[in-house]
Amino acid sequence: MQSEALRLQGVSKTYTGARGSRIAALLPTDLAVREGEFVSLIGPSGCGKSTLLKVVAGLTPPTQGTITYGWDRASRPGQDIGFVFQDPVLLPWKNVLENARFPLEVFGVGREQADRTVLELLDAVGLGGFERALPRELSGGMRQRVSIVRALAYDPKLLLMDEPFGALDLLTRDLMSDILLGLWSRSPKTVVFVTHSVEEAVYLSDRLVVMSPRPGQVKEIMEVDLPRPRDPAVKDTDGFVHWMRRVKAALDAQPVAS
Amino acid sequence: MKRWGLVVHYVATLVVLTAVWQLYVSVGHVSSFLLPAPLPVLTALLASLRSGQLVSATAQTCLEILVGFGVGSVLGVALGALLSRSELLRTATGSLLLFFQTAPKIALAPLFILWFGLGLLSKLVLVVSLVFFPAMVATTVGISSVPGPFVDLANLLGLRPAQRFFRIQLPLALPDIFAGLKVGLVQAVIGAIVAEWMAGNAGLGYLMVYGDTTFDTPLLIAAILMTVLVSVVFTGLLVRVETRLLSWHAAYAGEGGSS
Repeated sequence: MQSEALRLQGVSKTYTGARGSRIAALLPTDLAVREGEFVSLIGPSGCGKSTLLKVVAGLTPPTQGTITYGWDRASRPGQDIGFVFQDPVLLPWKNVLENARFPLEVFGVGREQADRTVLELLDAVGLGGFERALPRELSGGMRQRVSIVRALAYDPKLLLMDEPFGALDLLTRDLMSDILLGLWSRSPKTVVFVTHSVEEAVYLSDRLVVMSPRPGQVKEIMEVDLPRPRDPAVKDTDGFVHWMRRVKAALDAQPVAS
Repeated sequence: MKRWGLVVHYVATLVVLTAVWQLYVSVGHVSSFLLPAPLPVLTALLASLRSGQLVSATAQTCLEILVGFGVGSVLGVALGALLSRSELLRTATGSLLLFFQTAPKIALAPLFILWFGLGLLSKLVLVVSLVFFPAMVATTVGISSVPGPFVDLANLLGLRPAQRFFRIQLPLALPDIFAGLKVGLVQAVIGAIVAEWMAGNAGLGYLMVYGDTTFDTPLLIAAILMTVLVSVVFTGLLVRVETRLLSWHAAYAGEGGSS
């Protein structure tokens, strides 16, 4: 029995609009994530999946409910939580190495140790030799890899990813999924991954949280029992096709927003 | 090659302009009191250079511009950064700042002279007040336009205020800040000259008044030419610093890479 990394109880988020109108971004949600589990949140835009992620990261407080973490939180919010944004959010004046070790620098880790950790991770994502390149000299996929390395550099307890491959082309997306799986099998981390790609979600996840929009709420939670380790060949199996169909059906069953 | 082509261009333009000037003066029989010919102006320029008059005046004006611009931009950026941090400070100082920002600073010059004397200080105060506001406004604009995800990143990593400012906000705001500083620099030159005009016994502005009142038009024009040169040199220096600091920025990448 694995221990829990994260537990959400009745967590909801309501934004106050311009004229005092209140918009429910996320209805009260319960969710437990096991340690080392890869959980994906999937749903159309406006289903509150990004909001949920920001609440878990502590970037915005929940309107109601409690979040329990399976470890003692560090004093800095991000020191034990890694966050990969949809855009790479790299500092354009810093090169790849400087960007990737930025959190370690901020946390006061020694330069030598920081470089060792970061260079190893850069190698693992296929960016060895690009340490001195500036972000604008890299492709979108390479930039996003740097941002993943930055989030993993300080070995967080929990990795949150907000549609990290959403802005990339299809071929690059597939490559990024495999790189992410490679990293994850090297050191299994608890991952909460937000996406609107059914294939990506099925391929990567242990568990899938299907959400529906306006107001955002959890619609269905599925346990994806495809064997691990997974590689691209799994996408041709009947099991994979079956899960793709199931998830699509769950998404389509929602009332279509006009 | 390209560089030399540019120099030839500049020289050619200068030659043509001077020729037109000379032609106008000699064909139109213009009084040398209204517009002296190029040669007397050049003579006056060289004479005042040799006597040290023009050199010390230029040095004085450059000092006022340099110190005033430096102090004004540092203060402007600092207050801009503080304002964008604190909503309370913004509302508390908003109307006061708006009052001083919209007040024509040149009109305040006599007051500054009254308060800070006829010496260097009153001139510096005027220059600082002219540089301060563009720098402050540009900084608040630059910081408030830092994209949301960068703010999230800073929050996630729990950056302290100084780290947040120097490592994220300031570099991202630099393009805006430099736009403000360029406006401020032009204002600084105007401020220094006007202050010397009104009250002073040194500087290019004083030399202009002196040339004007002693009917020494060649000296007046020499001082004006020197003012233009000072302005061009300072702007050129500022652009160099900007290009150097923003070499990472896509818009400056071409220039930064080739030099």
